[in-house]
Amino acid sequence: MLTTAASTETVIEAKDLSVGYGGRAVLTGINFTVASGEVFVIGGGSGCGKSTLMKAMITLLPPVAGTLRIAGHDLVTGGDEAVNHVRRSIGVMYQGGALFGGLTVLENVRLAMEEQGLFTWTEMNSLALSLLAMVDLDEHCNKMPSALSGGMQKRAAVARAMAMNPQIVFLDEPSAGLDPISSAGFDQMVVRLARSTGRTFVVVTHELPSIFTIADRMVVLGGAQKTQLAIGSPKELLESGPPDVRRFLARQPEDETSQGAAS
Amino acid sequence: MSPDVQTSAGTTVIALEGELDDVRVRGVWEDVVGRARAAGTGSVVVDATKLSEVGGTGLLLLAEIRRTVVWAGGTIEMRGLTADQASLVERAVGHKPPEPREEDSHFVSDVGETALKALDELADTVRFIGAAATDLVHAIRHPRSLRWRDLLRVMGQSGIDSIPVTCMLSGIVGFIIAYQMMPALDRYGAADQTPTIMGFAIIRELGPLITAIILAGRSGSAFAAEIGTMKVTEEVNALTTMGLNPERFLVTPRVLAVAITTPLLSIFASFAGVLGGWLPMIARDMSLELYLQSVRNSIDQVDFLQGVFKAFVFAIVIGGIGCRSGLKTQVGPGAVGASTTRAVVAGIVAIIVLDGVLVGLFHALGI
Ligand SMILES: Nc1ncnc2c1ncn2[C@@H]1O[C@H](COP(=O)(O)OP(=O)(O)OP(=O)(O)O)[C@@H](O)[C@H]1O
Ligand SMILES: [Mg+2]
Repeated sequence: MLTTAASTETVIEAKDLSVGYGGRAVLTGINFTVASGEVFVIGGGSGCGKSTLMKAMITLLPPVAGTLRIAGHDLVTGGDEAVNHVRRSIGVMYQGGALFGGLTVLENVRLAMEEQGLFTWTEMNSLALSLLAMVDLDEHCNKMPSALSGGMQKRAAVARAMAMNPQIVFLDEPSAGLDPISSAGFDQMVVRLARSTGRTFVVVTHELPSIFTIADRMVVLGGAQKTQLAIGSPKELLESGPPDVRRFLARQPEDETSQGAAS
Repeated sequence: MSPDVQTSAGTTVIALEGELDDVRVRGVWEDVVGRARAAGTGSVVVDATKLSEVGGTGLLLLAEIRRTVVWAGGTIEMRGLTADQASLVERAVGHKPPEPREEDSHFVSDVGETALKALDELADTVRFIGAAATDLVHAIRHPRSLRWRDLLRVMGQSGIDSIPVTCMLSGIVGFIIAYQMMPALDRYGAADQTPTIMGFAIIRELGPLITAIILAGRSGSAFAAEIGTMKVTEEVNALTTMGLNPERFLVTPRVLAVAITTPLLSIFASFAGVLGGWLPMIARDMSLELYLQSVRNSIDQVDFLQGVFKAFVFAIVIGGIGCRSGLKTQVGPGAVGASTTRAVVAGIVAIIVLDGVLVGLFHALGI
């Protein structure tokens, strides 16, 4: 899905990165880069630190050590200024959608634009409507979030994440809580959005069907090893990755005695 | 049937026999695990060959013995278990066994730690309320930055919707005070001074205080619950990564709303309290006009403004505490409830303590 020539530009770079809570690392030795326009998946079993790594990338958790450069700003050394820059370059879909319950779907999408104050009322409304049309929700724009299904809330949250024209869109567990059909539909939407808008998508997921549908490349994290196990396209990793990673992608549980990889 | 335990030459042999069901496990647990712990770095043999049946908790007991011995640095051998049972028991070495009870409680250091934590908490709360007040000034200077919809909604909920209950409580308290005061005043033939006392007690003190307590119960808790739920559903994180400051976005409209409505509400409450104080006076044939006139004569504008000012300060403190408590909500099913409780309790404690401080301050200033 690397379509344009410009896609060689690096938008995310992690070098010897450690992330964790209160100075205690959950993951160390994280090294990867994400090129512009890629759909990049962070995968691995439950509890391996996917959410922790993502929280660090979306500025909610200061990295413990190393380098984490997002859209050209290093979150380790850059201080508040880097944090603010990064926030302006990213959009995030949280696992449950995290739509603001007191606002309609349209108002949710419009909120950040209102606060920015660059556009007129009419412009903001038509921008928000176009965004909602991209996720097939324009008919529901005046509903409250509570009146939408879980899948629709997530799609609305994707529209909201893209509202400020971010360079990178982060999706947290898009398939969680969705039935297989909706989940597949969501994956297709992600691929479509990535292709048509040329934006970079970083997706946290452990759903194998999703991974094989959407990922250009992925990093597989290992909970027991507290670090990354492999990086590459899902196909490559399934064929020639380390044994732990192949087992994870082929959906084989670890053998009885060992504590196993991506767990 | 207690287990047979023999120790010789550094080896402890624990022989179990019969049926290891739940009741029996409970009976022997402390004894057996204690023996295993006592073995220290020595070797322990658990002989289960004579066990006729091992239930689920029986396996847990065996696992606990194994864990205890392994973490103490000893060696263990289990005899007479089936392969499946043995593999289950062997999995249970992952975590250090809990320390025996008496070692983890240090009363003095616990008290010290709790006190330090409470001080930290207090300092942080004061800082938060200070920041909220500063944000208020900013919002008033830049009205376009304000979330008007939230402001109006909270003003409705904390103001208009609170009028009936606040006035009713304040009226009843006024009645009770006047009623209880009269016999005492009668002793000095001073029952006609009741309006003076009511003026002081209600307008300077109880009107604002009752209003603030109801505010803590209604709005402080609501703020904590609303913001706490937003925290749990990651809406607060969503605001943060959208570059919208949650403090400004969520806290300012709420605190401003109660800062506007509470002084007004407190005026209503004071009036209702004064009126309630008139009821016992009816028996003394005091007319409402005369009563109100005496109340009026007993207080001046400063007393009145003092009450209003107090209500204003209380509102900012309670609003701030409620919002902070919401933003501090942890994860988990009981988290929002805990934040709500904390908001109400901390709010009420804070305003009563603060009331004492303000009394001292006004006294020092001579007003
Ligand atoms: N707030 C926290 N404070 C301390 N440790 C945490 C915190 N949140 C998570 N952890 C620890 O970090 C590790 C990784 O957790 P994380 O939530 O990142 O895993 P995950 O890969 O997202 O798992 P899942 O697929 O189940 O969501 C876990 O061992 C967990 O115990
Ligand atoms: Mg997670």
